[in-house]
This record gives sequence, structure tokens and C-alpha cells, in this order.
Amino acid sequence: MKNPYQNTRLLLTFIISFPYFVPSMGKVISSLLVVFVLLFVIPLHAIAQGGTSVVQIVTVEVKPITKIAVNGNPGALTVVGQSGDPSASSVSDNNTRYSMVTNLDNVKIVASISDEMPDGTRLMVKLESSKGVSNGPVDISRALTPVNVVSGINRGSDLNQTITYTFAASESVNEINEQSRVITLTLTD
Amino acid sequence: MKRLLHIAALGAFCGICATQAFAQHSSSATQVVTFSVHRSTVPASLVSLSSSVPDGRRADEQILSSKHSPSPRSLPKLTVTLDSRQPKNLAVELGTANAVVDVKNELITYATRKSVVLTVSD
Repeated sequence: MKNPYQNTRLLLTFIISFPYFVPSMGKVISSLLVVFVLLFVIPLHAIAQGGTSVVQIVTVEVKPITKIAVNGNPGALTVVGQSGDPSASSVSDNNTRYSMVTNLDNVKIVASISDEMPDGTRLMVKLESSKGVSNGPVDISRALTPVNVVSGINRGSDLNQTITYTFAASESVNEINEQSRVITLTLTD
Repeated sequence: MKRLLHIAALGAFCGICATQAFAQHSSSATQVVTFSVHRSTVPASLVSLSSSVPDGRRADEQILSSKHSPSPRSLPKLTVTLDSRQPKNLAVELGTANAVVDVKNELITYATRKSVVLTVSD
């Protein structure tokens, strides 16, 4: 397809060069040229959208988000009672909470313990969950490698969910001085 | 040489892609759990764990019991400390403890068969 500007240029070239070949027509040609410019060239410039453009590339990315936080430490878990009394064998704390947020599907919360619990004792943890499935009280006494406590969590947030720790000591254990363990809760895919 | 460079670049690219694809995204929070066990081991000769208080009887000496019978009011739980290094008459020890006096009054007032839970430790 021919460019309309090419036709215009051809026409102008013809008109301008015409007096060279027909000198007597020079004055007429000049007048025609002025009329042509007034009638066509100036309106063409007016009509033409002579804007400039720039291009930018915007890169958008949503990174995977997994975030979990707790609101402090549980109180001291102390088993007291008469030696050999089976009714005084465990104690629980459910005063701490956790919150989590993720934009991934099917993530889970795993728990691990810094050191194994003493012989004859057990430490269990239970995490409530409204976004996933809680595994109930999970024994983490020997969980040096993480164990699942909540699974099947889909994207969204879960706020102020209860953490319950239960410390149990067998009847044969009479005295254990105060000890501590670091429990790590990890939200992972 | 150029081909080798291309292959190396392709390998690096694939490695980065694979790492990104299988990278685990995780976040952790920690809690410190503190625990202890303190259980008393009282010589059996000093404590009778299952005696009971008969109706209307003053409970100076038979107040130790681990049973909890049904009653209109729950009886208080007590903790009595005995010094095993200086053996004394258990009844005297219990009789002088204010908490035990309260329990005795409770028992006398109701004049029914009741049990009191005591924890005795040395």
C-alpha cells in the first residue's frame, strides 16, 4: 500500500519543477503553489497526530509468603503430688497463641524440640487451626527432627490460635529440677 | 569453546530454575518450655493414705485420707509440711496446723462421713 505522503511529495515535485519546463507559466505556478500549500499542506499538518510515544515495561511479581509468630512462652509446667499417685502425673498450659499467614496452598506447621526430654517424661503440643487440620496432641519429647502438628493449611491467615503444652511424668519420676527446652514451630510448604 | 560456554550457561540457568522451583518457603517461631517434677516420698509409717473419719468423731488423728466421698460442699485440699529429721507425733503436728483446724471444724460441723485430701512432704 502506497504511503499518501509519497503521492503528496510527487505532486509537489511536479508542480515546483513545472516552471522550469514552461517558463511562461511561472507566475501561475507560483500562485498555484501558494494555494496548494494553503489548501492541503497546512490542513494535513493540522490533522496529522504528530505525538511521540515511550514504552515502559512494568514487572509484577508476588513472592511466596509464609509467616508464623507466637505471643510468648508458656508458664512453667510443674508436676507435684504424692509419689506413686497416678492422678498427679501431668500438667498443661494453654495460655499462648500463634498467628500465621500464607499465600500458598497445602502448607503445614511442624514442631521440633532443642533437646530430648528426660527419661520418664513426655512433652506434647497441640495447635488449634481453623485453616488446616490439627493433628491433636503430638508427642515432641524426642522430636529433634520436626514432626507435623497442623497440616493441609490453605492460603489465608489464622490468628490467635491456641497452643496447648502438656507435660507428663511417669509415677517413677519423683524429682526433676527446673529445665527448659526450646520448641520451634515452623510454617512450611 | 563457544559451544562449551553456551552449554555452561544453559546448565547454570537450568540449575537456578530448579533451585527456585523446589525451594522451600518457611517461617519459624520459637517458644521456651520450662518444666519440673516435685513429688514427695513420705515414709508409709507416718501417713495413712486411706483412713476415713467416722460420723461425729473428732478428727485429731484420723484426718489423713486420699478418698473424696460425695458431699454437699467440697472440702479444702491441704498441704502439711513435716520435718522428718525431727520425728514428732503426727497427730500433734496436724493438730497445731491452722489449716487442719479448719478441716476439723468442717468435719465436726457436718458430722457426716467425709474425707480430706492431704499432701504430706518432708
